[in-house]
Amino acid sequence: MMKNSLDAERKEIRSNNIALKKRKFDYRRWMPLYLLVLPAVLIVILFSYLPMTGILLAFKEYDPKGGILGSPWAGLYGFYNFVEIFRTPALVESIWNTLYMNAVSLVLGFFAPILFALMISEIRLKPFKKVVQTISYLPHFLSWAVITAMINNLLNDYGMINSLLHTFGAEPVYLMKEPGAFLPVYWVTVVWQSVGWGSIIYLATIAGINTELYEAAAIDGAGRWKQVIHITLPGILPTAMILLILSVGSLFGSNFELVYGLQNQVAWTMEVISTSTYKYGIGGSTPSTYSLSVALGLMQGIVAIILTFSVNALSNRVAKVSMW
Amino acid sequence: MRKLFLENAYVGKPSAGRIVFVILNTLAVLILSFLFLAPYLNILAKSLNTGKDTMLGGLTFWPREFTWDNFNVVLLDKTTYSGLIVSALRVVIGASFALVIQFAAAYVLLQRGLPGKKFLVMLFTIPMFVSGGLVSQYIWYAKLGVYNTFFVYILPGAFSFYNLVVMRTYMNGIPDSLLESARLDGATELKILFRIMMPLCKPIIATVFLWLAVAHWNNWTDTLYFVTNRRLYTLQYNLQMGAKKAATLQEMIQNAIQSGRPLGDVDLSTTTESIQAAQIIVATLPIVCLYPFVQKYFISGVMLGSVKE
Repeated sequence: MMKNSLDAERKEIRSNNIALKKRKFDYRRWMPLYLLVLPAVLIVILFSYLPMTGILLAFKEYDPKGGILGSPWAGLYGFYNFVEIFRTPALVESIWNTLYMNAVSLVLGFFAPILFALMISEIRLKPFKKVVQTISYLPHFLSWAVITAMINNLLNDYGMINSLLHTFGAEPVYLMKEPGAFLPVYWVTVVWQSVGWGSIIYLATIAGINTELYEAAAIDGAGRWKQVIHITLPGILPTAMILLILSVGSLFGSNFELVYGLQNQVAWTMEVISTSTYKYGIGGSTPSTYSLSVALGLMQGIVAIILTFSVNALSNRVAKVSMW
Repeated sequence: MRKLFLENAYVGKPSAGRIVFVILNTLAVLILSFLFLAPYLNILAKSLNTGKDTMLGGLTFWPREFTWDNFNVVLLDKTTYSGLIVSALRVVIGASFALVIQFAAAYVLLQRGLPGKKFLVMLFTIPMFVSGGLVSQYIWYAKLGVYNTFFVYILPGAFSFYNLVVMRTYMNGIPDSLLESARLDGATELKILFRIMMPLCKPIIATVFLWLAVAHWNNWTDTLYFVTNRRLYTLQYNLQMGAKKAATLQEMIQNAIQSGRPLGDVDLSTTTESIQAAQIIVATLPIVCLYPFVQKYFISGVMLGSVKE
């Protein structure tokens, strides 16, 4: 009885749906809406889809006269540029630099916000907590142009570092002249810039943990330290995993603005993939290396997508945490 | 007092270990917050200190010989002036234009039963994963006529699928009956959008506008990639280039002093540290003064981004 009426209802819905689909296209209802979305469609087609044709350049030898479509195909069945990347020592080095730089950034960038969030969450004085959090967000709102200008200024002869050393009677140091100081400065800057903002999501997750869990643990005699290990850390694990998956995709990407901004012509000359893409591309002096730049950029993009998907699959299987 | 040390669940006195931990933790957090501020405070002190006194060294977080001179130099400089104007125009025009486009698109994608909606969503999603790369953008922007014009700041970045999704999610929370009853009364889609949707969406409009405004103010790579006309340089770009030039020059001078070789053909007119400090303050003051009051809008963005669709 029940089943029959349900079936009848389903049939009715289905016939209604068919009727809806068969109804004539309602110009007066939809046309204004299409007009509303038209600017966005135009912007995307003109400034995203048209430039996508440039991916072809990775398989071509760019010739300014021929443009993107008119340039001749590259040798080795079009894969000449990709082989050339690995034959160019400077580019191979920039790939290794990127990997090393990002591997350390990834680890620091993963643990620092968690640690900072745990520290902040232990503060009970609300106004103090609020002020500290607000201060920690400051670097996030500054542009990379400002940040690199600040670093240059701080490391100069009369900058903060040397002023502090001077105050304590120590010898001045010139970090910008030390090739080996580039990476540490980069890492410190990245952590400084991102740790406060990165902690927001963890603090929200911690705030969302059921307080009864803590109360029950306290009654069972668990101290605060044990509570953090057995309740707080497992509580933020899913969030941490998702953020980790997202960041692994950027292992070959790099912060162009910071690296390019820090580079000087004397000691800090390290190149990464993004700066090479720029310098072999439009930042260079000749269009003859454009194809190489496009190939490098394309390779990096493909690797990023593969990395993200495979880490996601791995995490899905191991920890049952997935982005999708 | 004990509330500072213990959770509510605890009964009795905090343990000695707990007290030590809370004190150490508070101290560490204090030091960290100072580290977030220290670079900025040092540069602020430097910008308000006479250049001569700064060169004596040892200037930390308070000006010793107070002066407005550095700011006078920066604000009277033509480059700063034109940079400020371009940046301000970019923020106002760029953010408003992008907001209108994204808001309208979000409203359209809200419609149930819109023919071709799936196609539109796909059209907007693909560019998040695929990009032609810099070289191709450069070639196409030149062909489209936006290269080296003010429009390169406004048009290419005017669409963001992320912002669209954020706004559409907000609109989803508005009861359908409101829109339906307006439709039955014969209101056109445009009327519904402007008269009903927009007033109801004020909070999300303000949020997205702030995101766009800060992004426009802070961007300098668009200038690096696509602009060669000095009159179109933004404040941030000038700052970036000035700092780079100053850093390189300084190394060269030091190398020359150490090796005893002459400096040769070097442009010595780069900004000195004090003036550069004043430039940094000018470029960041709007942001630094505003962000404590608008941070909640940005935090809501972090939260939205973390929610799985």
